[in-house]
Amino acid sequence: MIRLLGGLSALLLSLHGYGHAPDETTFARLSKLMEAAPDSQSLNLQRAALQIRSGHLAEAEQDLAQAARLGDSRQTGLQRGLLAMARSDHHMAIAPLTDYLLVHPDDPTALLNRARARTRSGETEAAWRDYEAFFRVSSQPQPGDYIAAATLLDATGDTEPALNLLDEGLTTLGKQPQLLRMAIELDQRLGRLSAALERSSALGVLLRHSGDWALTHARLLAANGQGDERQQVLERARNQLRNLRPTPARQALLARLEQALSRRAAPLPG
Amino acid sequence: MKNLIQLLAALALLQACTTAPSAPSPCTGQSTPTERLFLQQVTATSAIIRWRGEAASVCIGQSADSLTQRFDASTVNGHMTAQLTGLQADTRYFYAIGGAGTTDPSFTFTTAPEPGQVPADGNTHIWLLGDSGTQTEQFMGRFTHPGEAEIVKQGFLKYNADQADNEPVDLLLLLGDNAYLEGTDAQWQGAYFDIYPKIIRSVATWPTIGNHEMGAGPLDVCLFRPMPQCEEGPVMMAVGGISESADPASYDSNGDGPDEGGLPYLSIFDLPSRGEAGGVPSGTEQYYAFDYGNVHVVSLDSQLSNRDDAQRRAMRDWLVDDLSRNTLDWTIVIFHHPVYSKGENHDSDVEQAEIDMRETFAPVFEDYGVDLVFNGHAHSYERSWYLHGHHGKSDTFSAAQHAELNADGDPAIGQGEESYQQISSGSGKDDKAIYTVAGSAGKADEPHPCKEGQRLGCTLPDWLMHPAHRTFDPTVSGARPHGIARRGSVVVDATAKTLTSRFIDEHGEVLDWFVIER
Ligand SMILES: [Fe+2]
Repeated sequence: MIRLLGGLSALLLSLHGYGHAPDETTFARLSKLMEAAPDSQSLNLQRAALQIRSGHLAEAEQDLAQAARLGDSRQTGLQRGLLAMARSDHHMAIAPLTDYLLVHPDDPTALLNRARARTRSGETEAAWRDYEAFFRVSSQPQPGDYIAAATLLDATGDTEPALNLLDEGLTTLGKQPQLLRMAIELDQRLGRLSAALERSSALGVLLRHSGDWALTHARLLAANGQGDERQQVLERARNQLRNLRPTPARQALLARLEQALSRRAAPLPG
Repeated sequence: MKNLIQLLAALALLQACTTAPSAPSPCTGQSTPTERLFLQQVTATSAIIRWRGEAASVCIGQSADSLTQRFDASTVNGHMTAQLTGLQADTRYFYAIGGAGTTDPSFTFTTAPEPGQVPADGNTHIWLLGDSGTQTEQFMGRFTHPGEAEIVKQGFLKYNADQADNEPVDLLLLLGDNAYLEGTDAQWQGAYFDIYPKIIRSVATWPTIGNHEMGAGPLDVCLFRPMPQCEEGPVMMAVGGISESADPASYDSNGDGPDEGGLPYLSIFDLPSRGEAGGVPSGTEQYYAFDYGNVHVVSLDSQLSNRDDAQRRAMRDWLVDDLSRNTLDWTIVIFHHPVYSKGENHDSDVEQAEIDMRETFAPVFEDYGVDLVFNGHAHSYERSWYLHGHHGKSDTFSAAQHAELNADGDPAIGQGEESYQQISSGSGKDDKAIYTVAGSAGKADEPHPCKEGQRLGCTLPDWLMHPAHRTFDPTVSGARPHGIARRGSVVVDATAKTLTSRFIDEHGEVLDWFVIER
């Protein structure tokens, strides 16, 4: 309801901008359009989409039922899927989205939503296939989409494909710290320390060897038996931080760096 | 034989002398008119010039009478785009679209100083425009705010002439809603390119996505105004500015489903998703960062990325990385939805986009050294105290707990003896930020009294009364207890030692100002 109010007040803002509330003519015009709707599947679908997005789910269901009677019912699948998701009934969203994808196999919105619905329903393998298809057809995948999909893969134990996906994302979006960080973590978990270190060095360049980066990089170096290098990285970061204007984040980081440096004497693994 | 060789050698030398003087200038084209002309990503070494028109190249030089370097343009997202590289820092260049050898000297721009350096004139002069896009706002086929953006611009120009020595603008930051009502390409033309043509051909535009950039969405008008048809169920209407989608491909200009070309904003602007201008690469043009001399600027996406949990988290983590790396003197963040506002019908206690931005991002701003945050959305001016730690609703605000205080124990105003210190005198760290809502560069809200029981579409009693914002003298025209309902824009000046922000009204008068010192 809060989200709806948010949207509402944006309208009210625009209505205020006009200097007066909409007059009767608007409503008459609008009603005329609504009267034209019953014969057309696409108009019914359009109205259903509007209803769903504004939270009128029961009305949307009526429009969708009418739309299904007026033509190929698979065309209503996307909106039926979105309706189910709006009701947090993710499992119920899968079948209509599948119907829709039979007639629109490359629709990115349907693919991404089915991927999410399947993820939330625990159908991880199928969810992953949808993400895969989504990334093939989407013109504007976002960093968060890659991370969500890679997290899904990783959660099922498919770390290698998760890494491949992240690499694909890094090619599509360009080198980007969030995808790189996750790739480093996965490489490390797979025991590929040198690959993780290589990525971490690239991340260091991207982040101008910030203190935060130094902590992760130092951990990798320690795990790789490079105790002296670890020490150097931490010292450089600490010295750099000491010269910077104090912020809460930098002070916390400095404390963590000092703590890490004090552990120098600890024997190195391997 | 020897004579013949000598003769041939002499001939060869003569030919060389007559045919190989200095290389001919490549700038022999004609100056060509453009339909829209603007700059993007002006850095210390590069710039992008974009236009619409016939010309396919641009010539540049350090004198308007002698343009000697030519760059070819290519079509990118419906705009001719010339990438200028190899430029010198903090240097004035002149240019001619079409590749002529001379130009009108008003076709000029200055490159950014080297990162960390202050410009030669000692000041970075920044102009901010929130919700300026009203020139194209229509209702029932009638333009509802004609000329209002223009008078705000004139007010700024008057201020600049009278009180700022006509200093050229170094950065133009947009706070969203800069092309009403749906952010179509034609609306960008009418509300932006046609309103500020001389300014935006000399300074890079750095925008952010507002709700009105994101097309139309559905609304049940019965919720707003009961009418007979409502008895039978909701009456839906497509209205600009109410999309709740996180997907730019879902951009819909008129309510009939997604448009073919996606979000016009992303086609019009060419933004540094790969760290081209000094920020950490974000991987998306929806949010980005850049350096300009000693100023670091971050543009966040409160409209799209903010609506999806995974995308919001990715944006937040990117911001942490970007700010952790930043060591410049000053940091400014822009996005559309205000974290603190009691604007007319835009309440940061109610709107989810505003709550999400506050809860997720305000702690990052404070912990990672952000100085100024600018938002739009509400068509009035509100400016906070020097804040730390207020992340809840307005009724949880406590000046003693969340604001920098003066000697009397009241919130400090940021002027004169109460100027703010970047390293807060209270805490000894750089842990505070000022939040400004400045969405009145195209129109200002006016009071609309509520009828009995009405809660929506009218002016509620707490209008411009968010306690985290500074108080105003009630005798000032348009003033409310914690804000001003007046048209205007913001000017920020960043020197090596001070960061000053001023709210300038349509008459060129300064209605509020404050300073942070370092
Ligand atoms: Fe807005």
